[in-house]
Amino acid sequence: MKKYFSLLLTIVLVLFIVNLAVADDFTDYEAGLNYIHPSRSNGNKTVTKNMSLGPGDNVYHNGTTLLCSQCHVMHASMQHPHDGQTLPDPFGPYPQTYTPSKYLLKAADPVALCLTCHDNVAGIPDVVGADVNGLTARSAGFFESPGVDNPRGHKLDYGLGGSSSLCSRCHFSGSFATAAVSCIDCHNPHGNYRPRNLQWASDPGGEPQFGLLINPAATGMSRYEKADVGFGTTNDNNLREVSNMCDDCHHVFTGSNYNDPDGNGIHNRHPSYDSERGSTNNIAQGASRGTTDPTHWENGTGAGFAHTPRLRFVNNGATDFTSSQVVDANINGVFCLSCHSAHGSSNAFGLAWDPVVGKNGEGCDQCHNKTSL
Amino acid sequence: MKKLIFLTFAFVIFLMCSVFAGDYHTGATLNCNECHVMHYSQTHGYNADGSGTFTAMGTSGPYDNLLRNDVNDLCLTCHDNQSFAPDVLTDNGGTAPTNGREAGALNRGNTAPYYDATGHTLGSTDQAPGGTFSNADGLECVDCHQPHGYGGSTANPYRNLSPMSGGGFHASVSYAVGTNDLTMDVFENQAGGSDHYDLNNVHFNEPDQTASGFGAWCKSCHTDFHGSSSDANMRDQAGPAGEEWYRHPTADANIGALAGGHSDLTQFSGKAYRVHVMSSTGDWGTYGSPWTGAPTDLTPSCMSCHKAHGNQNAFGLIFAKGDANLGEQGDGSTYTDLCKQCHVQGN
Ligand code: HEC
Ligand code: HEC
Ligand code: HEC
Ligand code: HEC
Ligand code: HEC
Ligand code: HEC
Ligand code: HEC
Repeated sequence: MKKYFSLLLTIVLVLFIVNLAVADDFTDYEAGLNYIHPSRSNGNKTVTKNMSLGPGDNVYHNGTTLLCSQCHVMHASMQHPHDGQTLPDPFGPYPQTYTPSKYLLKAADPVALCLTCHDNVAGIPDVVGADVNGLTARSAGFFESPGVDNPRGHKLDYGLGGSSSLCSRCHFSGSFATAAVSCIDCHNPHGNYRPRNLQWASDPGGEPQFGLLINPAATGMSRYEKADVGFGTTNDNNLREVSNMCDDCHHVFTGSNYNDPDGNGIHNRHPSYDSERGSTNNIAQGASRGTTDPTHWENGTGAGFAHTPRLRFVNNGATDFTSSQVVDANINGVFCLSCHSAHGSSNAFGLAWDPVVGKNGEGCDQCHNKTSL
Repeated sequence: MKKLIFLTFAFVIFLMCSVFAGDYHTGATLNCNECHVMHYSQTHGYNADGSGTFTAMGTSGPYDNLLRNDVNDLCLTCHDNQSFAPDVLTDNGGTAPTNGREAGALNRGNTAPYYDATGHTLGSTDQAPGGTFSNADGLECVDCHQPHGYGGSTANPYRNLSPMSGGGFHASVSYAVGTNDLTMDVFENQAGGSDHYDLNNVHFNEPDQTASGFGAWCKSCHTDFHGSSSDANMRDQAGPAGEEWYRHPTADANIGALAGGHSDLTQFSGKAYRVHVMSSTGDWGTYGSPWTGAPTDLTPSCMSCHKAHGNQNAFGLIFAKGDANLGEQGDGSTYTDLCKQCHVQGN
């Protein structure tokens, strides 16, 4: 089966790759994974908690907060709650009976399982539609209901398998335009001591530590507030910009191979901070050519800021929330989450601003300041 | 992977909203995504429900500067044969202004009747006559027009004419809309409607009697062709004042100022349909009627004789006999018709 898969992938690649050096190296699935994450180690993938930088410590669904019975039920039947369990239980009143499901899950599909708690349950981050917790802006934004096309972000759907079938959602028979995602593509259900338990969808467990830095002063639901989340990177596996986990599915949008294929220094796709593929950036770098306007970015007023708060940025070198908040065009980089919300938003493409006529360039102008020329 | 490519024209909607400021692609009408695409990939439109049209992407991308296509092809996606944006290439397949397009028509591909010799040729690698400018990649729209409406020292440049054309920084062309301002280079009656780009919607002021703002802009590529009467490239400085020009004046020479066979204001003002001249008083007579009381300080400049983009005549000249609407080619049929707008020789 795996051999067959490799063969198919090779054929697909021959079709895809015309003159990119990377193409020659990629002849099988493993090589495909290495292409997606060049820093990947093929060795053991022990999840380690004690990394020197600990933004993944104290993440829920980890260690002592990994409560099997929140998600699994042994006999599809439970007459009463466990000791100490908080009520009401989002799965309904007791006695509970379930339709027996694979992996002994309390729902027919992992997405349905997660959403039993993560949609419309007060005190648990709400990731679909309106926010029951009433946050100002959820850091990851929000999805639409599973199975519904979502032009404002990721489309959730049921019935999506694990990482082995991931590639074929967009390759082979699949098509990017109609593909969908599951919570457990991006989040490890059993915890991995990474912020939000984020993982490499193509290689769960292989991921580095991610620089998603939560304000230590925030408590309760405000730990999921946009304003209380910052981004940093040390440009190595100790702490990688969190958008690194987007590459697993969007591998042709970052890296200089894609952003500047002819190597002339003029971008062909928008740069996105990618330390793994040697394609970092900062907002000051365009000053000499006049492509960006660092002073305008630092001032934070005028074109681009009229309707849209300062976009998020990844701070090169920041390892804690406070340093991640420093506004300095020399270390502030543009990355996926500058423009997109990870789950989705109310704007097309999950954008952080509404690209409608009249303020179409909002966001763009925060860094580029072209409208006020 | 299937890439969905949609042909699109969100501009119709945009145009309906653009009633202020005159030019498009500036301020609130500078819509980044009309021309740029972030990842050379787009599966749906920009409305929150995914609807809405968007500009097609070329097939050989990704392109430099995140453009949706090569520059000329990108501009022409909307600026050729579309009703919502002015058509600038060869025949007008878009909205036809009453009297013809002020800038005329660009050419490319040396195809009749818009041969390469009839005006500016997109893609040409030739050196600009009278200067040193050339674009090794071929002449592009952005060599003359600033895509973001940037005007350098000129607050809002006429037709987004670039302050960087020809290389180096220089002044662009200033203009007033609706109410004339004699300190501006150009006066545009109205900044919208089907006659927005009509030749009779545009008039030329002369804020400085010794200069031409429009000519100075052309000069950024055609260096030697412009100047005042006190510039050595234009006139023999040893000759009597206002005489002995080496090159046809494009500034600093009033029609009929010199007696004798030089130029004749009666000849010019007697025509019902006249080519553009600069007027310092904002008086251009009435297009279609002979002009009584024409001021004595009218001055010809580049646009008097040439269409900025070109037309069907060699050198983009306007064969302006003056008996009927000039249109884009001129109502006459010869070069001489144009000279006779102002000169009496051969009457
Ligand atoms: C937040 C929800 C959640 C919690 C809590 C949870 N699981 Fe799971 N578990 C899942 C999901 C979802 C899957 C199915 C994964 C898949 O489809 O690939 C799963 C699968 C499994 C599997 C089989 C596949 C595998 O990954 O090995 C085992 C065994 C398992 N869980 C054990 C446990 C144990 C033991 C605990 C408590 C220590 C626990 N789980 C807590 C959601 C959870
Ligand atoms: C029984 C309810 C329940 C289920 C089922 C559940 N969660 Fe949670 N989840 C919680 C609670 C409670 C928290 C912690 C809220 C808080 O911070 O106080 C949480 C937090 C999280 C967080 C944020 C962790 C952090 O500390 O930053 C993520 C990510 C998450 N859940 C993902 C999932 C995914 C994916 C699934 C499905 C596989 C899932 N959850 C299923 C209750 C649940
Ligand atoms: C598990 C694979 C996977 C990962 C990881 C992933 N995406 Fe996606 N993404 C998809 C698929 C599939 C689609 C297309 C279908 C859809 O709209 O969900 C998509 C679509 C999108 C879209 C377009 C949405 C629209 O409305 O058209 C954006 C923007 C996006 N992803 C951003 C991101 C960002 C940012 C990350 C990292 C935080 C990320 N993605 C991580 C699979 C993934
Ligand atoms: C969300 C959609 C999506 C998923 C999931 C996905 N890919 Fe891709 N992949 C793409 C797109 C889009 C391209 C660009 C080529 C194209 O246009 O078809 C691509 C290209 C590639 C290429 C060629 C790179 C190049 O330079 O052309 C490789 C190799 C590849 N993918 C491997 C994989 C592997 C291995 C997996 C599974 C782990 C996978 N992909 C999963 C969307 C996806
Ligand atoms: C495409 C990858 C992806 C998918 C699919 C995904 N998430 Fe997330 N999720 C993220 C990322 C990335 C973040 C952190 C983003 C940020 O803070 O900007 C996040 C954050 C969260 C949080 C913290 C709340 C917040 O607003 O930051 C929770 C809870 C969560 N996800 C639960 C879920 C659940 C439940 C599902 C399935 C219904 C799911 N996620 C699907 C990528 C994903
Ligand atoms: C958070 C900052 C930021 C935002 C927001 C942003 N950009 Fe950029 N952009 C950059 C940086 C940094 C570069 C790289 C500049 C360079 O290397 O000259 C860049 C490069 C570009 C380039 C290519 C310039 C070149 O010559 O390489 C274009 C075009 C561009 N951006 C357009 C946009 C558009 C359109 C938007 C809105 C959809 C946008 N940008 C949003 C920071 C940003
Ligand atoms: C400078 C802002 C910006 C950055 C940075 C950015 N995007 Fe986008 N992205 C956009 C915009 C705007 C669109 C909508 C299409 C367009 O206008 O190019 C888009 C579209 C998309 C789409 C949909 C493509 C399609 O074919 O429909 C995906 C997927 C996506 N982005 C993922 C990402 C990922 C992953 C990253 C980081 C690697 C990223 N984006 C970084 C602005 C950005």
